Amino acid sequence: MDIDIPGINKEIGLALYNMDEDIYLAVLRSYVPNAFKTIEMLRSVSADTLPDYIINIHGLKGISGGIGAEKIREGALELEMEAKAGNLPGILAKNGELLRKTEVLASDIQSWLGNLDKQNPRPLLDCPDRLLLTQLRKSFEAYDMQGIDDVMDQLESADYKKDASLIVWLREKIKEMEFSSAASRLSAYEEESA
Amino acid sequence: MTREQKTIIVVDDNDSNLTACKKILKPYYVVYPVPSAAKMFDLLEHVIPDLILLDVEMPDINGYEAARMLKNSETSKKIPLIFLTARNDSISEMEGLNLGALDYIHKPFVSALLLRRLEMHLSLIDYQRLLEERNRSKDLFLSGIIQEIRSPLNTILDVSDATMNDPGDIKSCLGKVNNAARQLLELINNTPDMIRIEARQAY
Repeated sequence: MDIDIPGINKEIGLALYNMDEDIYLAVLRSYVPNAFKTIEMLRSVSADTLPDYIINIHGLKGISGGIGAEKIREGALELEMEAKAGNLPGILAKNGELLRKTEVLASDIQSWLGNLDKQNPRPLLDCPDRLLLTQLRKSFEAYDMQGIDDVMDQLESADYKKDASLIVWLREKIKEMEFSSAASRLSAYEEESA
Repeated sequence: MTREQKTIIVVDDNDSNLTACKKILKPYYVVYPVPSAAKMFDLLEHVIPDLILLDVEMPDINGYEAARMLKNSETSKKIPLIFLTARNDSISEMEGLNLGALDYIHKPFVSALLLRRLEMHLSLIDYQRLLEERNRSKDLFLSGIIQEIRSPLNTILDVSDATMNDPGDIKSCLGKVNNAARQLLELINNTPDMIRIEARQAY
């Protein structure tokens, strides 16, 4: 696969994951929403918000290092050091530029991934498989992560004409570890569709 | 390749890091990616993992505070803990290790190294548990031996006391002492075999 995204050193990124493109792609996918979210949190900084700024810029450094976005990682590291030293003017002088570059990078990754998905479309099914959803509910109730992973892998391998948003919602609940609320919604869904 | 499916909780406020960890570890372990320390404590009410990988820099409850809370709780104090962090100063590392963490892994990490270090720590934990189990079983074995020795020794003491007070039936008394001594000798002769059997059972 030709991973050619400006601002990313794919050799460095891939080497972190033993040249496993599948892992690297998953990390790139999660980078996009994360970077946009972090940019918003970093946009305004003051003496009062400096402790939060340190955590968020540290996060940007970590995720950028994790994909081989070396320039962004270095820029974030520099600002993290300024923040830890309490140098607010130093941060204000460079923060906007770093966020702009990060925004460009995240948009580039997003459009590259969009093209990749267009080339490899997933099968379009009517709706998520009922039996799989029941199995998923039971796994949520039992806090069985392996069961949850297995079913979600199958459910996410297709697109759906109806109830596609349910799968997206379930993924969010898994990220938030809100298994009880996911199980309740699936239970209600089973009753509605019975 | 599937290793024994041990359970690992990974705690990080950053979804990209959780995604990377999950993808790397999932072929070998059952992995619960958790976005905050608070959610980790919720999860621990349902799942007791073999190990926790804990990020340091997190909002609300940071990794060090979470480690202190884990170590102060009866149910979680024995869960092995490894810090996963982008901090790279030795003071932070020492602070983490002083909190009882097994290790301190730096981000961004190389997947093969992360896997190797986890495998190594989990093996050491297994060996430690095995040794603790063997120690317990050795203690039980020793207390059994002590019980076995006590009975013939009591006979020897009782009979010799009685003979000193009344040496009339010395032949019968010596017979009892002789029997008790033979029981002791048999026990001592059999002990190496019993130790071997116990050792085999422990494995």
